[in-house]
Amino acid sequence: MGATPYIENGLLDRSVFSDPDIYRREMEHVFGTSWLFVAHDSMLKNPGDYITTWMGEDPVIVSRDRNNEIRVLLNTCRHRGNRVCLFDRGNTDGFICSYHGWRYDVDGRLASVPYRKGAYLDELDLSKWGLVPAPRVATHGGLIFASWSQTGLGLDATLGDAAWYLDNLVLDQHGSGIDFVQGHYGYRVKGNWKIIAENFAGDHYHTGVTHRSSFVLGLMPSGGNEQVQDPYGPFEVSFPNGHGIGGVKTGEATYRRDLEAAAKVGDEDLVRIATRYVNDRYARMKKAMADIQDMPYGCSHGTIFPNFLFSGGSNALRSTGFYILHPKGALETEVWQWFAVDRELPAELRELLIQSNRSNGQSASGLFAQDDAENFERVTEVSIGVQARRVPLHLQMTLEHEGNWPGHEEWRVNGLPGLVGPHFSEHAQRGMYSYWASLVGR
Amino acid sequence: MTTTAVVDRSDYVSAAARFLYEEAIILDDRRFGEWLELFAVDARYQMYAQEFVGAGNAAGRPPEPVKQLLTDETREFLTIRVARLERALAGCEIPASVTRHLITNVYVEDVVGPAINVRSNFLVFQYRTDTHTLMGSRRDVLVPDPDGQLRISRREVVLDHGVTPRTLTVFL
Repeated sequence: MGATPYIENGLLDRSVFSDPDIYRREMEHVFGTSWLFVAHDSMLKNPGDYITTWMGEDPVIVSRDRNNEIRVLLNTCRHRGNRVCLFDRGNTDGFICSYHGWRYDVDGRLASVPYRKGAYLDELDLSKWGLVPAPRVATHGGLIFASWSQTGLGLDATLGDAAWYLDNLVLDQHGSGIDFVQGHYGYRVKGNWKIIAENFAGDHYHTGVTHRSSFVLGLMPSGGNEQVQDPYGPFEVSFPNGHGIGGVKTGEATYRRDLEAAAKVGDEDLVRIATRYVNDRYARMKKAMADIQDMPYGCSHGTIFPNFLFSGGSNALRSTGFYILHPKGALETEVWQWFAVDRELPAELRELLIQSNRSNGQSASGLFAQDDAENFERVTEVSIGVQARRVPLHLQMTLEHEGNWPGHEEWRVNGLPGLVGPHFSEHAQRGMYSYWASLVGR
Repeated sequence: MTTTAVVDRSDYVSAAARFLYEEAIILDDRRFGEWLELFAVDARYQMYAQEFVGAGNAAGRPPEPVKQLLTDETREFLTIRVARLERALAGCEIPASVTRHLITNVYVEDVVGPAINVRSNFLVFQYRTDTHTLMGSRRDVLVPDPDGQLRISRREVVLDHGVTPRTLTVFL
């Protein structure tokens, strides 16, 4: 077997979804080096607050220590390797290993060990045996990322122009930011993490088919899936370093739709509150993006490479769903989800916005997630077969036209950063796989 | 006029159990239109999952898992879920899952006026491309309609999972 690249000429070697050797390499070279999302500021408000999560297959604790520093610590005792924290989240003065009782401070320092005199003759240097910290931790707009690589691009350079979309359309940096709703929830998908990541990075093509029920039953406004590209979008945007953000719309159509939705939100008082919120938010956005000729109003999905995803953000009256893909072997992924709302959102609208995501969004109980998960599982399962594996996957949509899209002269995208392409295109997925392949080395 | 005080509680238990067992048959037979009819017009349907929230190292009882709200729906939204399945709009249920709802431990907690507050446990087996089981408990408030037929006016489903083995495509 020659070492043909995993992706070439828009053809993807589907062993990337199931080959255990590739999985081992991506754990090392993708999850072992990339900036990975671990928490949001709003989950760690007070000293002693922590959440536990995973970076690849490594368990970590993300804590706010007594000096208000965010720490990302490998969740394993330095003595015999047990996990030192088994809670999903909480507030504590330290972590005590249940095996032999080594006790660590919230900042990871080893504070004490039992029988220090009797067992270690007072010779154990506590300062050398703290929990292992991730060498780099950085935040962007309240999002906390960590990396196990000592070197390489910083977080902001890695996010690149994707940060501009995050700031303006997802993290509400034109206001006072967003709050994650407390508590997370997860579900398993017997699918490889990359098929999920690529879907959020740029697969607008599946929306009208996979999620047909939401359009037919009136849960989502129709439109956006027309044969002919609308000059105001939606657009799919690809970035260096594997990120993709899509469903970007410019013009005022979504703003007007938000006003219509606000008018139907409930009683007179609620309608007034919602209408004012839609208008205030739009005014803030216009101010923040005053230098952009074709200001975007929203985007509907995205993947921050490798495994941090979001949905929503396409309009004012939706909460945003954030997801981490935790790989559990090549063939299975644990999807963790949180919802977040604009801090400026009036309290009266909060539950309403969150609930629409719970029932119709990418929650396990949400219709979108249910539709998607089945496809991801079948794609992965088929990729195991010897014969199927020899047949590459077709990611050639718009390949010949990338960067010189037919009809692009008409598009209202002046000032939008990134490689902006039409809604029916696979440039963002190709971008993600190409970057991934450069990390795993083929 | 209420006569609940003098009625033997076992009558309520058998009425509630009969209702819940019949509901299980209706669900496993995929008669979803009939299933909707079991809900009062203003019914509320909530579902929760589990989360382990730590409370520090102070001595005392270990903290209990905390319920996390997964969804909070009206009968109107359940109608949409049913329409999705019955009109073959949901790829994730084509072909349809085979399900088996096992309902046990039916316990009438309280009777308030005409409302029966009943707890039960469930184990739901699902077979489609793969097999899965979902475990949890329900708290239902059953209220008779003007014709005397019990209806679910409120259902709280608490999954015994923090991470469910799959997305929740079947009714619980």
